[in-house]
This record gives sequence, structure tokens and C-alpha cells, in this order.
Amino acid sequence: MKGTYLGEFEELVLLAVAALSGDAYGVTIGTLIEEQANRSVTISTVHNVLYRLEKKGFVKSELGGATAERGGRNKRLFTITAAGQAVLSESKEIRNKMWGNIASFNS
Amino acid sequence: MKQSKPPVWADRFLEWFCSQDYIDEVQGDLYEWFSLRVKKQGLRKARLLYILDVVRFIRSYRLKSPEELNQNSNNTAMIRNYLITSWRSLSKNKSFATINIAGLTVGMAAYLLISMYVRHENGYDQFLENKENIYRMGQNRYNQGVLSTQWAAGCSVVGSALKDNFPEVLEYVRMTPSNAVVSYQDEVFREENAYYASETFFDVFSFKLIEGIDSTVLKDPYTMVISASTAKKYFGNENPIGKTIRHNGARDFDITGVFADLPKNSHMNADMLFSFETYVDIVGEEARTQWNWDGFYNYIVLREGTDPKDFEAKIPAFVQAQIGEELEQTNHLVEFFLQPVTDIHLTSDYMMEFKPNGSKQSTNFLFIISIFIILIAWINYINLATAKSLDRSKEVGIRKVMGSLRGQLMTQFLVESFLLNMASLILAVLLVYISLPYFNVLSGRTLSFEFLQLNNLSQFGLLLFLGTVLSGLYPAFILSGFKPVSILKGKFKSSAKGNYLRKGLVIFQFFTSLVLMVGTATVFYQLDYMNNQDLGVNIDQTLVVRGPNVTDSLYNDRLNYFKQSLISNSDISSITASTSVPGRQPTWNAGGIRLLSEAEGDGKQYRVIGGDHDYFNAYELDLLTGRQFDKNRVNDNETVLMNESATELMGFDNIESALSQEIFFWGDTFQIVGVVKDYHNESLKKSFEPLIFRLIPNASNFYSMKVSTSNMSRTIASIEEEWKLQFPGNPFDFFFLDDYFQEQYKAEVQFGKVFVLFAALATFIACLGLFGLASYITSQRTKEIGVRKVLGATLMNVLTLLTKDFALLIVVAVILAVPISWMIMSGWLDGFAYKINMEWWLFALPGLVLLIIALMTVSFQTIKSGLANPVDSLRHE
Repeated sequence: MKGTYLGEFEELVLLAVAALSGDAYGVTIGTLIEEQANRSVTISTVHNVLYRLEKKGFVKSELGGATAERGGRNKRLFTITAAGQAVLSESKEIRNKMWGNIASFNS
Repeated sequence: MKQSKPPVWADRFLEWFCSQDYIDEVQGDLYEWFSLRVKKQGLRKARLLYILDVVRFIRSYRLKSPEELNQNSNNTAMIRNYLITSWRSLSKNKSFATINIAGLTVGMAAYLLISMYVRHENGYDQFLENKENIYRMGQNRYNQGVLSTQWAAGCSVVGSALKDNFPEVLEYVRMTPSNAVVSYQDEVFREENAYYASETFFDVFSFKLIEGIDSTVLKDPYTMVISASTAKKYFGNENPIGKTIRHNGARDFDITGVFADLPKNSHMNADMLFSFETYVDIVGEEARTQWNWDGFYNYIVLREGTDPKDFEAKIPAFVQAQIGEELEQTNHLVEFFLQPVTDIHLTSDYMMEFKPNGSKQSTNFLFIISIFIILIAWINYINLATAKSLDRSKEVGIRKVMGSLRGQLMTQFLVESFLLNMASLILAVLLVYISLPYFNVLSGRTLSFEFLQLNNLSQFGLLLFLGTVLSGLYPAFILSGFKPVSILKGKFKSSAKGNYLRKGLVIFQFFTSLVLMVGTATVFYQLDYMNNQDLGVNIDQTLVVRGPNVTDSLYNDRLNYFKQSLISNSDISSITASTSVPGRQPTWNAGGIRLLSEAEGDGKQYRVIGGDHDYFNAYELDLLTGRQFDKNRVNDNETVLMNESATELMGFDNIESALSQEIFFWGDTFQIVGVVKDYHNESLKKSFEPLIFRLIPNASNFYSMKVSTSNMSRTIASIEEEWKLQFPGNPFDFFFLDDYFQEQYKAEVQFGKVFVLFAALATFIACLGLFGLASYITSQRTKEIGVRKVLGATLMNVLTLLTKDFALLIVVAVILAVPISWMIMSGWLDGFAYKINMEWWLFALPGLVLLIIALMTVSFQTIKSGLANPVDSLRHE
């Protein structure tokens, strides 16, 4: 699969979209990554990565779910596509293979 | 929730740039994210991060498309409309636009130049690190309760004494000038800016040392540091470190460091610094410890947070404890004061300043003038715009009927004035670029204009904003206030109120021009007066050669031989050696001089000039009584002459009674043998100073020669030839005494030239406005003039009719300007001991000139319409 290389942060975002199925939008994704990876995230970066992923066809999105807390603004809710799932599992596979090669860690 | 809102303006900004397609998700997410951040990191941090996030959201795909911008904003359409109509109205009234732009351009350029100058003057020594804690010790000496000398360079010990006794003083540096002729191999130069400086020099001042180590370069005796350009002068591209140069033909110094040339905007100038330890080695330990020996710059560094006033207040008691007794015995008093290093350039004018300093007063004065000039230009706009209001009234009426709001109309007129100001500003910046070199010559400074400097950009913004608002608001207000019904009915007349305002503003313009013109006249009259005053000393045709620094034991014979061989030259009529020449304060400033019969405490300070036997004849000084020094009397080196002021200071009722009296001068007794008439040894800014003349036949500072005008270059060549023969190893430096004397008036001459320039500019701009106004008003009355001519009015009648009103305005301006300019200029003249009276013609002449210029401006238009054939003006409806 050419042109499907996933950056490290891209992968995290894509994983978050998959994990949050149905309620994945900028804020929830950002919070999840902050909690799980214990690192500070800027919301604009999350957005920019999401658009990149959408362009690559790994996620799709729709508008909806305005709340008062958002000043009545709609959310853009993301869901993972089949291509997205494929690229995630491929990435995991590659990693597992690589891990298998490290003898001392295998115990 | 109410308090924890993100910054409103950042939000607005987001809404402004972000396309509708993205705004929902972006802003919504930002809000949520923000409230999470508030909980986690606090409001302040959250707001800051919010701003950062907004900025990070700027991506090209999120920006509004041009279509979106246009659709959504009626304002942009209106702005486009404002620009178009403004452009049309300006290009329809080309002369109106030209006059305004010309005036504004000149005004803004003048303002920009002056504000650069003012910033330069205020920027002296601002580059120093720790500048707020560095102070120079100024020193006042009193004699018998009278202030005798104010020193920039006081006694040598004060800095070190303060450091040793007050914890507030962290460091000090001590400097004193060295009269140096310096040689390296065959190169010989006189170094004007050479000083001895103590080793802490580079600790106190953050001048950059290119080679060498700050704390050690000036530590040992016979070491020195030189500036980069001086190094280049002596050694070219060779490394100067470790080289040895010779000082006054006698002492060798090792170069231990090289410092970057001092910035031009430092109050200090130094090309060479010798270690102060050398000076101590030469003159002895008292160079460090004396309270009564002046001529040493002392700079101290106060501990951060020390109040200089509090510290200054502690000094008198300390000085009292140190030398109080001694001072009381001699009835002397010495006072020290702290000069913040950044204030020295504009506020200090004491004995032994490093270089002639600027003046706060004239800097401020110039700044005020530049503001007036730009005001005059803005007034032109107001006047012309309101005068033209009749033309625009129809437009305003129609617009109002079509539903235009008052605010929109005002915006329209403000846009017009903005465009004019913008165009003028661009031209003004160009003008500044072009004229800067000339202005530098005029002001004697080296300003450079960096367009993108923050200061300049903010100046531009300020000019543009003030120009638009000040000059645009009033016309916009008036024009937009017209009632459409009366305009369209044709009943509209320009209001009386507008007329009064216009007249008032014209009066103000000409008032300002006139004050400047009177100022110009006064400055030049005063300069002329000073130049043509009989000095009482003959400085014409006098060539002065600076004496040799490198001398040997045969100096006396060499000097005699030098004088004799030159006097035999038919082009040289006299030659005299002396310790000082007219045109500067004598550097020999001696205290404690008293009559032998007086008590020790009655000594006073006098300036002393030492000269040979020919001094009085050569300078044609007027001997009132007694005799000069006499070559045939062997004991004449125990005699002195004085000027009248000195005899007065010494307490003689008349000059005769001074003769044969004996005075006590630094441990020796001298007899007064003659008194010369007071003469102007220095500029006419100062009154006569008490002078004592001592016989010093081998004085080695200056040799003055009266030379004939013919064959000047040959004469100079033959002097130089003789010089090289007698004083080898010394540079041949000479100057003409009248030029040297003139230099004292440099500041005044500059002031006068600047005055002329700005008076001319102010008058020019005011006349431009008057020209526009006159041509407009005349064209309004074309029909009236036609009728009058048909009924038999002559050209003269018409001219009088049209000019009368303007002439009246000028006359009022003159009447107002006289007292104000009198006040200002007598204040200026108070700085001169010998000054002109403000005579009537100093006001009348500029007034008349201004009236003539103004009338010529007006009549240029009126004659044209007066000569026009009435048939033409009446035929057109």
C-alpha cells in the first residue's frame, strides 16, 4: 500500500478515533491522547491531523451534536473507515514481527 | 462560567479569518478545550493557550475565500466605494490635492527629520550596560562663597574615596587627559583624544574590548589600549598587541588591548587610553590622593536601587570630615554632584567636557517648531476642505436623500483625508531619504534613517492617524452635518462660524511663521554683532602652530632659533610663544592667588596666560598703565600683568593702585607691573574673566604668528621647513586664529541655519494654503467682479477688494507675534553676556516681508481675475 505511511502522532489519533467509536471529535480525541500517552496536545494539531487522515481516506466525518458548552457550535464527528482499520492492523502486524526478532525481550 | 471566557478579540479574529465551512467545529472544540484548560491550568494560562491555538488554526484551507469575504461584508463594498469617490474628488480638484500634498509632505518630512534628531540627542550613552547606575562626579568650587568653577573633571581622589567609604559605591574609574604626540617607527601623530584611565575603565563602561582582557589591560604602568581605527592608523593590518609606541618622545607604552571605536552617541571620546598607574609613576602618589587638584574625570557605579539623591546628600558631610578644616582655613568650598551618565550630553556644560555637548533647550525648541510646522500643513487641509464645502454640499445632499447615514458620510471624508495623508507620508519618507545628508551637515550629527525601525514605523503610524483625524475630523463633521433640504433648495451658504474658524487658523499659521522669522533675524543679528565687535585683541591674519610635545634639553635655544629665523621672513611680522591663545578658556586655572598683604584664606581663582616678551605686542593688547615684560630686565620672571577684571577681583579701586603691589601665587611672590584693558579672550557669550599674565619665555603650547595675506602657502611651507629642522619628531599642526575663534559660535551658527530652514518651510506651507484659499475665494466671486467691472471698477478697486481681507489677517498675526517672539528671543539672548537690543525693525522687517510674500501669493490669483474680461465671467451661467 503506497502513500499510506502513518506518522507516530497520526497513528495515535487514528487509534483514538477507533477507540472512541461514535463520539470521536477534536476534544475527546485530544483528551484521550493526553490521558493515555501522558503528553500535552494542542487542539489545532489534532484538527490538522484529522484532516490529513480524512484526505488519505482513513476516517470519514459528519457534523452534529451541538452543545451549549460549545457556544451552540456543531461537532465534526469522525469514524474510522475500512482502509483506516486496515492500515492500523498492518502497522500492528509489522510491529509484532519486529518484536519477535528481539530475543531478550521475549521471555 | 461567566468569568472564564476566552479573550474576545482572539475569538473575533478567529471568526474574521475562518471560513463558514470550518467555524463550527473549530470554535466549538476551542471552547470545550478552553474550559478543560481552565480547570487544569488556570484562567491565565488557558487564555494564553487559547490565543496560541487560534493562531495555529490559521491554515490556508480554513481561510475565507474571496467570494465569502465579499458576500458577507457590506463594509468592504462601502470601503471600495469610499476609495473610488475619494479618488474621483481628489482628481477633480487637482490643485487642491497638490497644495495639500505638497504642504503635508514638507511638513511631515520636517517633523520626521527633527524627531530623528531629537531621538538621537536623547539616545546618548543609552547603549551602556548598567547605564542607570553610572554617574559622573561633577564638582563646584567656591571661593569666598562665590562659585568660581564648575568642573566636569574634578579632583582626583573623590571616586576612590567614595568607593572606600560607602558600600553603595561598587566601582569607580578615574581619567585625565594626556596631551600626547605619539610615534611608532616613522609615523607621528598628535592624539587629541588620549587619556590616562584607571584599570576599571572596561568594568564600568561596557565598551567592547576586541583584544585583551577587561580587568588586566590597564593594570600595569606603561601599558595602553587603543581603538580599532587608531590601530589601523598606526599598524595597518598588523596585530597591534605587544607593539610598543612612544609617547611625547620620552616614554614607551606596550599595547595590551584594542577596543571597538566608541559609538558616536557617547558623551566620551577616546582613541587611546594609557594606564593611570603610568600617570602616578610620572607625577607621584598625589595623583591619587589630592582633593585640591582638578582635571580628573571620576565615574562611579552605584549599587542597584540606590537613590542618587540620598547618596548625594551624604557627600558634603563626608567631604567635611576629610578636608573640612583645610577648606575653612582658606575660605574655600567644594561641592560634588552626581551626573547620570545618560544625561551628560544634553544637560552638562562644564569645564573640560569631552566634547561640546548638546542642549536640552534647543532640542526641545526644535521639536516644538517641527510640531508647529506640521500643524500648519494640517490647517491647510482643514481650511481648504471647509472652504470647498459649498462645492461638496450638493453631493452630500444627494447622498443623504439616497439614505446615506451621517457616520458613513464622515467615513467618506475621513477616507479622503487618509488618502492625502498617506500619499504625503510616502513622499515625505522619500524626501527624508534625499535630504538626510544635507540635514546631517546642518545639524553636525550623523543620523541614519532606517525605514523599518520600530521607532520610525510607530512615528509613521502616529502621523497617519493624527493627520487623518486632526485634519479630517472637522471637515467631515461640518460637511456631513448639512441639511439636505436647504442644500437642494439652493439656500445653502457657507456658515459664518466656518469663516471665523478659517480666519483664526490662517492667523495662527502666519503667527507661527512670523515668530520663526523674527527668531531667524534675531539669531543672525546677534551673530553679526558678535563677529563685528571689537575684541580688543587682534586675531586677524594669525597663524597658530601647536607647540612641540617632544622636546629635549636644548628646547630654549631651539625655540629662540625658530623665532629668529621666522621673524627674518618678510611675510611674518611677529611671533610669540604662549600657554594659551584667544578663542578658548585658558587651561591654566589657578586658585589661592592673593595680595601679599592679605590673609591666606583670601586667595581667589584666576585664569593664567603665560607668554613670552612679545605676547602683548603680537596680540595688540591695550596697555592701560605700567609696562610690559622687558627683555632687558633679568628679574621680570617675577612680575605679572593683569587685566582690569583681575584688578577688580583683587580689590583695587583703580588700576593705578595695583601697580607695584606684590601678589602671592603658588608659593612665589610676583610684582604687578602693568594692567591691560579688558579684552574678549573668549566668545561674547561670556563676560570678561580675571586674567593674570606671567612671563614664560619658553612657553611651548602655542606659537602665534602674524602673517601677510600674500604667498600664504609659501609662508606656511617655510614655517614647516623650519619646524622640521628645530622640532623633529613633532607633527606640524597649525590653524588660523579667526577660524578657531569662530568655532565658539558653531552651535549658534547651526541654530541660526536650522531656524532659517524651518522659518522658510513654515512660511512656504502657510503661503501654499493661502494661495489655495485665495484662488478658491476669488473664483467664487468671479461673477461679482464681472459686474463690478461692467459698472466701472478699475483693476486697483478689484485688487483692494479681494486683498483687504487677507491683509487684515496678516496684520493681526503680526500684532500677536510681536510680544510672543520678543519673549522667546529675549530669553535666548539672555545666554549672551554681550547682546543686541531687540530693536523695532527686528519685528517690522520680518512682518513686512511676510506681508509682501502673502500679498504676492494672493494677488497672483486676484490680478488674474481682475484682468479677466467681464464678458467671459458673466456669459456663463
